[in-house]
Amino acid sequence: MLTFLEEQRRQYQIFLNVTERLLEAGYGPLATEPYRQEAFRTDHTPAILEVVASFSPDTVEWPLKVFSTGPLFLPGRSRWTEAIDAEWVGPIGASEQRQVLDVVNASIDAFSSEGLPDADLTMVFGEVQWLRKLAESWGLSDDEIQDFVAQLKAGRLAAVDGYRERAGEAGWALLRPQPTTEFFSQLRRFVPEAKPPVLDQNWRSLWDLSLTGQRAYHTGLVFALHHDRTRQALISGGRFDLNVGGRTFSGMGFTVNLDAVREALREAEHVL
Amino acid sequence: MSYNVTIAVAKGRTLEAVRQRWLECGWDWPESSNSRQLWFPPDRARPGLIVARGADIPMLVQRGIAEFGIVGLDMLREHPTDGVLEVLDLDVAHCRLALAGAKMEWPDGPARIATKYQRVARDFFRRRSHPVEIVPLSGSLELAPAIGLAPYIVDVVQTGATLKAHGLYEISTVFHSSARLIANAAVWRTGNGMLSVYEQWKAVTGR
Repeated sequence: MLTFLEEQRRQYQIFLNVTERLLEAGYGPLATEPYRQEAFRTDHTPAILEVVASFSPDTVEWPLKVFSTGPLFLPGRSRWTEAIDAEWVGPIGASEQRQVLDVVNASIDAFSSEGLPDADLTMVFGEVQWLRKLAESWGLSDDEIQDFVAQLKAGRLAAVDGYRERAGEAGWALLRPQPTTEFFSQLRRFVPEAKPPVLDQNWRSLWDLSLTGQRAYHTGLVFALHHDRTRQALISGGRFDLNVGGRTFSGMGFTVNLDAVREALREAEHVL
Repeated sequence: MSYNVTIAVAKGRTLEAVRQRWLECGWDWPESSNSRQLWFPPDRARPGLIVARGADIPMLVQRGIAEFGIVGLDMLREHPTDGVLEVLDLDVAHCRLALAGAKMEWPDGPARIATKYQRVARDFFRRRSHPVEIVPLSGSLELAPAIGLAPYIVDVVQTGATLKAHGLYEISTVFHSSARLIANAAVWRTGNGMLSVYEQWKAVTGR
């Protein structure tokens, strides 16, 4: 019982640390319904945007920086997970993207301050627009590109094997994780304007264009922070475009999976 | 040096079909005097092996209990799991999911369908805008039309002999299935030297 309570306490401490950093970065809390459209909530983002869409646009100061907390239902596992979801809603360019990634980094610092070593963390990045341009450069039709991206979003890497011959070895290698320098030296052969965001981080980073974000609304840079030993994603998110209530919202957000962070902390202590 | 990878394989026809491929990878097949043993830790001669129900394989891989899994596409479509990637078609354990009934006729009007593939069956009929009532069953599906439980079934078909033996006709194919290698997304994307297992499977399947 004492161990159980201590783990709960540490998870709550992480929750406090992350939300404190979000407040410091100018993000405001926003409550969302855990039960919507006759189903339990599996994702905070649409719920947040429904609240935003209920206000007339001229009463909102853009960009809007908000976060929502609370459980998410995992249908495949019939259980709940605790999460924090932060969203930057509004026009987003390279500078704004950098600001969101700085907040992601601050959240990771919150894990480190509770004892999770940066050396155990790997951030994997993908970019949906670059993936589309890459597929265009292989000569895929619009329908084929749509299928290609949809299959990758569903995690069906085997299903896109039919495009391999047209991609060639150099193009196909961009669908496997690579260190930043190698990845961009390859990618610029197909997407000359591609360049990595400037990051100031202690964790390892890799690039892999097969990472497209799990949600249909992920349309640009996407990322997932993995813990090397528990093999779980502690943070995931990315650039989004989503139509809610007849209005299209753009921005960038991320979800902190608190249960996965707690498991990673448990594993880190076990190793120590 | 010992292998540091575990593969969870679905019991039944997938396990039988995978055994030969496993040997072609150059690995020993774990032998046990205890036929009920379902967990074989990794050693110098092969990766670890977990034998489990097909429906449980994606969850074991998602949780990182096994780095890789082998399971039929039918199970993957019925139990989609975040954090799991389908990385290779192993081209073994072929079968198809099919709609079958006592007559060789597409259902006329709303139909009752007995199946253990509730998600797949719902999606199949939703795409065709055909209203159905799904009757969940976990086995002996071929009996459903004969005993009046449901006039149609959606089930796995290999040769069609079982359907024929029960006087059923295959009305439509839902999709073709084969065994797939699946990977934990974190393992796949952060590597750590474990992807050589994938390369070995790829080599023996000739893909």
